[in-house]
Amino acid sequence: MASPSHTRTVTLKSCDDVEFVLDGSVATLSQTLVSAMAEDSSSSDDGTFTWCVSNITGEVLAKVVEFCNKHADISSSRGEDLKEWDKAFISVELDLLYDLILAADNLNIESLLDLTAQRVADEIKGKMPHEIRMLFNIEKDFTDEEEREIRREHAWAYGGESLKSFL
Amino acid sequence: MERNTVRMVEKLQTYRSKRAIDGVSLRLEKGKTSKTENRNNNNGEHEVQWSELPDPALDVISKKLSIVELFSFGGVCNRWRSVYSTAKVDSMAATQLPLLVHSFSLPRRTLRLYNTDSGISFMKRLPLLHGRKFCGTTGSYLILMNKSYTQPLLVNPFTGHKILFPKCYWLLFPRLCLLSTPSGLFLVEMGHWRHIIKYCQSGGTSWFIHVENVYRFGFMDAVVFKGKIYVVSSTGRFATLDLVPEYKLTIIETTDEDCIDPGNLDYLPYLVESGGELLVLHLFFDPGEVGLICFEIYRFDFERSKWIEVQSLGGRALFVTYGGSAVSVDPTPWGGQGDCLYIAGPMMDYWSLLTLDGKTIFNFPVPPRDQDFSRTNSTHVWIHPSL
Repeated sequence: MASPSHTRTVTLKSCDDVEFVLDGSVATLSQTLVSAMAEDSSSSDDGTFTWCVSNITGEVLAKVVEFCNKHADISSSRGEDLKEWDKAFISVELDLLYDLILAADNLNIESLLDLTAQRVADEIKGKMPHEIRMLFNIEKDFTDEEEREIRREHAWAYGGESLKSFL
Repeated sequence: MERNTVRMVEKLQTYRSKRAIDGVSLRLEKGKTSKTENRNNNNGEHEVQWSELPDPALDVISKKLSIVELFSFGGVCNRWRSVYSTAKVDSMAATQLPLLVHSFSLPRRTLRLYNTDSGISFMKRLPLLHGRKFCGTTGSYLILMNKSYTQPLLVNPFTGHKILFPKCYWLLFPRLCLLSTPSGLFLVEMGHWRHIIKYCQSGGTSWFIHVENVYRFGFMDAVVFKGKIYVVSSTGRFATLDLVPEYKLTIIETTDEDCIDPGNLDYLPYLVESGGELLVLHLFFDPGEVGLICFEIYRFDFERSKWIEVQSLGGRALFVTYGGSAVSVDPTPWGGQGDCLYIAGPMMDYWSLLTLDGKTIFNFPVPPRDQDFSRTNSTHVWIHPSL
């Protein structure tokens, strides 16, 4: 017998009530949906499954669905083409990137988490901590003692004279 | 060869020049940031809190960063820093680059490890340093002794794993080797110029002490090769050592003459497993005199029972702790130079890179210690995160 996740369609509902209908095979990219469907297999008679994603808006969910459709489509998901597609897909503003990370985490989509994490890593590369904080709008929450510790740890990496500007 | 040195030196200094580039990117990012902030103000529906990214996301991000980038990542905020601590250890282990135990601070109970490739040092809090003395390394473990030098505690600073061995009334020369054999994990004390061997099995309750009756068989180094323990003596004699079911030393008769002058106390042989071969490194070296190194490497031909000199390590590198042990490492994961010896030692304030073919030597200074950190006779030794 075929796995229920392949035969059913899945309806994803965003927190602002936007609905997306996914093919069962597309939904298997999300480990969260796979486990949820497995638990729900008793009520599979009508062939549909609805899942509400509490903290994801329709705008973000649309991107997630676009990603899953592309990555589940094996015929088009080949090597360089897919890499190019991913690159274009992830060229988004940081706020949307943040939401995509939360969605990837919430729905447990490994390939999306990997892609979004790569984008964040690319942003971090070549930057000092204070530049990273500025970019992501993060507050410095170190105590004086912790700060001294970090400065000491970095002393050799960046040479004594630049220590003041490190954090 | 010359070009390789230049490359090494350039590599060690890359980080300084990198800062200039950072200055440019800072200005660029400033403009970008203000745009992001404006957007946040206009559209305040949901809160974007980058510091509060879920653990799995931070974990994946940290794994995509080089060790230098990880430093910046860990300097952002407390939450990111918590992820960084683990990632740093993984990242170090992944490159398989041996690190130098640089110095430690007893009051701060902190150890400083130095990455000779990037020039970056790592602080490692080690509460177990309290009331103990640091006495060297074996593989990925630090050897800590109690104040009376009777009880060794082995700690892996990368995984946190520790092994406490029972007390031994007498561990005068704490040159200890942790040997992992199919019949168990053993800590063996090398007597060096004395013909006494002490060993204890991990989890055992007592030490065994053996006086070796073979004339002038002073144990210099031991290694596990294909499941068996091999030892080398101060006179260059070579033997297998069984510890279970009972102690047994079997001298391997070789067809070549002992080429080593037994009266030469500067002679230190090291046994190494490297790329499926059992090697012996003969090192004549005066740590007080920079650049005065002379060495020979032989592989043992088991069929002919003969040592055969080798001119290449097949791209591998030997990390040698002077007076300690030598370990063969593949330098490709971190882009290091192969067919080389990397020598460090307790009496040295530099580490040396020796090429096998040209027998050229480069010395790199080890950075000075911080005020509240100490250097002892046991520091400036290699530790191997990947072992």
